[in-house]
Amino acid sequence: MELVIQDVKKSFRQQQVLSGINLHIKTHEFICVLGHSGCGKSTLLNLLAGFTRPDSGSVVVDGEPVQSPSKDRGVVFQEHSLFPWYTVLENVLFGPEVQGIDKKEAEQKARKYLNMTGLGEYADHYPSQLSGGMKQRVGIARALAAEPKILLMDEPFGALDVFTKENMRNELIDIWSKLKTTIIFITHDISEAIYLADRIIVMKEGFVASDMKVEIPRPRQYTDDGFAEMAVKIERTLVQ
Amino acid sequence: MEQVKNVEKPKLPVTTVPLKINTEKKEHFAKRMIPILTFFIVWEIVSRANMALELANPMFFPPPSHIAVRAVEMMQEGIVFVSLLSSTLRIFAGFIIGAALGIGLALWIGKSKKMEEWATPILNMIGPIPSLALLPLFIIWFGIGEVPKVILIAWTVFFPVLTNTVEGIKSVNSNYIRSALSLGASERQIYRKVILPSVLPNILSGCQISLGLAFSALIVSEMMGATSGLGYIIVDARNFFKLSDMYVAIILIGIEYSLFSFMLKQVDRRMLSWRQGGFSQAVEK
Repeated sequence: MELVIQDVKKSFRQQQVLSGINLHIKTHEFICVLGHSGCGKSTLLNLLAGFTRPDSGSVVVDGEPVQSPSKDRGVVFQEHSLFPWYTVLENVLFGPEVQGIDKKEAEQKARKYLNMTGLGEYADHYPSQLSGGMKQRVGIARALAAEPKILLMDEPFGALDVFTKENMRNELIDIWSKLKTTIIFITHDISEAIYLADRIIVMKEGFVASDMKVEIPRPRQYTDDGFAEMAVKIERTLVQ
Repeated sequence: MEQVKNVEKPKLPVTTVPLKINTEKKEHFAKRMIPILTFFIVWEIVSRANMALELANPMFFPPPSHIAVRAVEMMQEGIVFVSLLSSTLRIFAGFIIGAALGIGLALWIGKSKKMEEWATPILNMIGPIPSLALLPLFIIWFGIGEVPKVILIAWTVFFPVLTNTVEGIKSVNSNYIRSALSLGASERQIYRKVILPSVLPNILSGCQISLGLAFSALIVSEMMGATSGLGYIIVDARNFFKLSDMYVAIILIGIEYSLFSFMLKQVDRRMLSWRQGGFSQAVEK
């Protein structure tokens, strides 16, 4: 998988939100896009997902320009967006089912990803019966069950409490190291980005302000060498 | 992973809920029956007093016991069964046709901008006209058989279902549609698996709203040119001054309406079991 973003510009009502973004993302990379609210990071994600189109420039995945949403690019929203009329299992089954995969195989697949997110025993519950963290896990399982090439995550842990967030980060890293899906993860939390990412893209006022690799070995801790220095560096970039 | 499960064990009262509801239901039913019984007892007493004191013509205001006797007689004559059957069939046919057309057109309007632009002004013009005003026209067009009655009921049901459904389609959470698209769903699949279920509450509330209107349409249409039905009994009773018959028909209409309303609520409960909310969910009492 290869994702190339070339000179992408996008404005809403005369206000330029993205003013020329260039990025090159390779397979298996865990990318965090970091920035203040309103810096254009969600707009970028919507463009990558195919929900909106760039005014100019191009988004190309494996040589194919992104024209519309596709099962190759799974999305996890901040507001989990689970279908409330379906049970947990039916939600996760949605992807395999609409893709026309044989019923038995689809269910196996769904159960595999539910187990991977630790929710196997809640298969028959409705989303309204779950806690925030669990809903978000179902959201991740649902996106993974469609077996996308890239997983786009729009501040998925933003609405969760500190402890849950912590657990979810670990689990996400576990899942990612098992599946090696490319992940593009939007966040405004500096330490979250350093904790998770191979590479952090800091966005500011519609530009890429900096693009840095995180070399700290996993599993990471906030007390690791280099963690604090990196956080300070990013913070300086943001407030400059 | 193990650690996580400990942190977030949700409490799910799934298995204990049905038991509790059952006993609550019985109590609830008894509670509702007491005022109704009292209503009839007071009616009986007032009516009997009226007969004894000869205040007003006792024929105008028969006691429930007389009405009950008359109801049994009418049942033996067979007129009750025939009337209930024909009224029920008319409501059913009209309701299904009206709701189906309303949902169909709403989906079409939701799908096509052009259709919305064209249909909305026309519907806004025709919709507010009370359907009963059209009944004489329908009778002239379609005669006095079943057709104008069913059409009138369908017409009455059509508009509330249509407007509610259109409103529902417009307010479908766009993230649901985005999720479905990103999971690989086609437009057809999105209509069937996302839009329809999320609009279902609106459709059902449209049905609930139109039920009362549909009953008015039924009774009035049976009063004008019919040879059976609950509305027919009322007109017939007026012509022959059989006021007890009239009361029997009125009470039957009440019962039939309650039955339909109950059925609709059951459908609502079944199909929307996933929905949670409202005061009872917000605060435990």
